[in-house]
Amino acid sequence: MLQLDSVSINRGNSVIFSNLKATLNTPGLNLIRGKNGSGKTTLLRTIAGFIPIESGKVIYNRKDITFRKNEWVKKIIYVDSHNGLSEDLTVFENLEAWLNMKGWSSSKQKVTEALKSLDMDKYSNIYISKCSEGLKKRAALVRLYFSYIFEVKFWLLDEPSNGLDQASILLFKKMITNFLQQNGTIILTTHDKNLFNEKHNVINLDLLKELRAK
Amino acid sequence: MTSSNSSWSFVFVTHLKRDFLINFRSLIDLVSIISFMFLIIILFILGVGPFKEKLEIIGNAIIWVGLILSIIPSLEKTLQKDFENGWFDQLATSSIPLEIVLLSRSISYWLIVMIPFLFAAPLFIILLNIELKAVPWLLLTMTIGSLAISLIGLNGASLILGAKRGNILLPILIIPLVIPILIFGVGVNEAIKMEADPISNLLLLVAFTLIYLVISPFISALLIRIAIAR
Amino acid sequence: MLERHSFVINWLANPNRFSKLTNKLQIPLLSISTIMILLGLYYGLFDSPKDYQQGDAVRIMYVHVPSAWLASFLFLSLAISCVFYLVWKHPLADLISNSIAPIGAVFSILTLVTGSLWGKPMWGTWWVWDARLTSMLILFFFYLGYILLSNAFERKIDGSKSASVLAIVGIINLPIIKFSVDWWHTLHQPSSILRMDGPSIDKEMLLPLTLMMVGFSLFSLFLIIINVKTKLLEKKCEALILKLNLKEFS
Repeated sequence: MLQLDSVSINRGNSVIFSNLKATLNTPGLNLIRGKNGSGKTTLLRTIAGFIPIESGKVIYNRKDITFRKNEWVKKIIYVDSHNGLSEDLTVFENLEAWLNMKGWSSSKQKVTEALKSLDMDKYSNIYISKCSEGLKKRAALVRLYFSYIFEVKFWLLDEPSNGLDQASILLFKKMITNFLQQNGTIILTTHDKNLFNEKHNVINLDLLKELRAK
Repeated sequence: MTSSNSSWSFVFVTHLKRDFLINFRSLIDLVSIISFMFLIIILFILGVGPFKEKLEIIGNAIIWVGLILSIIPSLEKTLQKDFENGWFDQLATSSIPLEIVLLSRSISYWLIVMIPFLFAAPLFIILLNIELKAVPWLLLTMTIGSLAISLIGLNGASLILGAKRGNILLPILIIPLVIPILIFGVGVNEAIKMEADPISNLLLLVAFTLIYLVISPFISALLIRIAIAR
Repeated sequence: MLERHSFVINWLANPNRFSKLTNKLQIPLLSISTIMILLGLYYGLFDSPKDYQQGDAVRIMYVHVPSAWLASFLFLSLAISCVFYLVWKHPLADLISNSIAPIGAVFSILTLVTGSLWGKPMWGTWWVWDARLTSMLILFFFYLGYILLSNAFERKIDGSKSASVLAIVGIINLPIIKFSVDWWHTLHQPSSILRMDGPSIDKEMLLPLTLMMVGFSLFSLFLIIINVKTKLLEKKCEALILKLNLKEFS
C-alpha cells in the first residue's frame, strides 16, 4: 500500500502543495491531474524520493520511504521528459548503462528483447543525438520492459506519451495493460486521455488547492 | 546481500566504461584542451620574451598554470550534460551510493584528460627548455596534481549545476581551491631544479590529493542530491 | 487559509521572535560599538606610543588587526550558520549567512587596503606577497564565490544550499590553503623584511587594540542584525504579494 500522509512541499515562500493526503491504488493505475504548475512533476519526484519532504510522509507498506530508500528505489522505474539518455551513446549502450547503473546484469539478448517490445530493435545502434524526440521517448520507455525480470513494482511516469506516434502508443498501451495484470502499480501524469482504458484512481491537485482556498 | 561490495565495484567499473565511451566519442574536446594549454604557454612566452634564462625561472609555473587553466573549461560539461539529460535522476533511482559514481566520474575524467597530456608533455618540455633530469618529476607531479584538480574540479562543477552563467563562475570557485596543489606541485619541480630534496613537497602533494580523494566524492554527491531536489 | 500558509507562518514565527529580541539589542549595540571605536581611535591615534621601528605607521594596526580578525571570524560564523541551514534547514540560518557574507567580504577588503597602506612605509611598495596578506586575498575570493554562487540561480532559494556547501568546503580548505601559502612563503623567503606581526605589543597599545576589536565585533553584529531584518521584511513583502495574487486568482 502506498500512502501520502500530509505531504507538504514548498520552495522558499511559495507553497507548491501542502497537507496532501491520498491513498494510491496498489496495485493499480493512479493518475495525477492538475493545471500547469500545480506541482504534478514535483509530486511524482517526491514519491520517487528525489525531493526531501519538509513535513509529512510517503508510506509504503507501513514504512516511510525516506528511511528505506535503497529498498524503495529497487522497486521503481522513473521516466520523465528528460529521458536520461546520453547523446553520445547509442540506444543499446544507453540501455546497457542504465541496467548496470541499476545494479542489474545485462545480456545482449535481454536488451534486444526489451528493444523489440517497443519496436526499437532496428534502431539499437543509432546515436541518441541522431534520434527524434519520439524515438528518444521510446528508448527511455523500453526500460519498463525490465520490470518483469527484476520485480519492479512501480512505474513513475511523467507525460510518457509525449512525442510518441500512434503505433508506439498502441504498443505502450499494451505494456501498461500487461503491467497492471501482473499486479504492478503505475503513477503517472498525462494529458493523453486515450492512453489507458483501465479503471484508475485520480489525485487531483487543483481540487486540493480549491479545498484549501475555502 | 553478501556481494554488496563487489556490486559497488561493478557499478564503479561500468560507470568508468560509460564515461570513457562518451568521452572518446567527443575526442575533439581533448584536442581543444591540449591546444588551449599550448596557447596559454605560447601567450606566456610571447609576454615574457624569448629569453632562455627568464623562461627557465618560470617554466614550471607556466606548465602548472597551463594545466589548471586548460582543465577548467571542460569541467562544467562533464556534469552539466548528465544533469540536463536526466541521467542524474536515473542515478537517484539506483541503490548504489552516488559517492561511488562520483568517484568513478573523477577518476575517468582524470584518466581521459591526463593521457593526452602525458603524450603532449614532451612538446611543452621542449618549448620551455626543461632539463632532462627534471622531466620524470614533472610528469609524476602533473599526474598526481591533475587527479587532485579533477576531484576539486568536479566539486566545482557540481556546485554550479543548474546555475545561470555557471561557466563564468566555475573558475572563481575552483582556482582558490587548487592553490595548495599548485604550490606543492611547483615546489617539487623547483626543488629538483635547485638540486634540493623534493620529498617533503611531494609528500604534501600526495597527502592533500589523498584527502581530496576521500572527501570530494561526498561533497559532489551531496551537491548533486541538492540539485536533483530542486 | 490558515493551512496553506501554515508553513510561511511557521517560519515567520521564529523570525518574529528574532525581531523582538534584536529590536532590544539594536540601539545598545550601535551606541556601545560607536563609543568603543571612537575611544579606540582616540587612544590609538593620539595616546599610544610610536613603534621604535615603524614610527606612526604602526597606528594602522588598530584598524588592520581587528578587520583581519573579523574577516576570519565572520567566515567561520558563515560556515557554522551554513551547517545549521543544511542540517536543520532553518530558513533564518540562510538569511544570516547571506547577511554575514558581504560584511565579511568588506572586512577582508579593509584588511587588504590597510595592509597595503601599512606596507608602503614599511616595505616601500603598496603590495608585498606576504603570507598573511596573500591568505586574506584568497579568503576574499571565498567570500566572493559564496556571494556570486548564492545569487547565480533563477530562484534565490535554489542557490542557498549549494552556496552553503561552498562555505563549508571553504572552511575545510582554508587551513590547507593557509598552510600551503605559509609554506610557499618560507620557500621563497625574500631578503629579510619586516613581518606584519613584527612590533612587540606594548601594554599601552593593548588598550586601544582591545577597544577596537570589541567595537568592530559589536558593530558588525549590529550590521548583521540590520541586514537580516531587512531580508526578513523583503520575504514578508514577497509573501504578501503572493497572497494578494492568489486572492485575485480565486
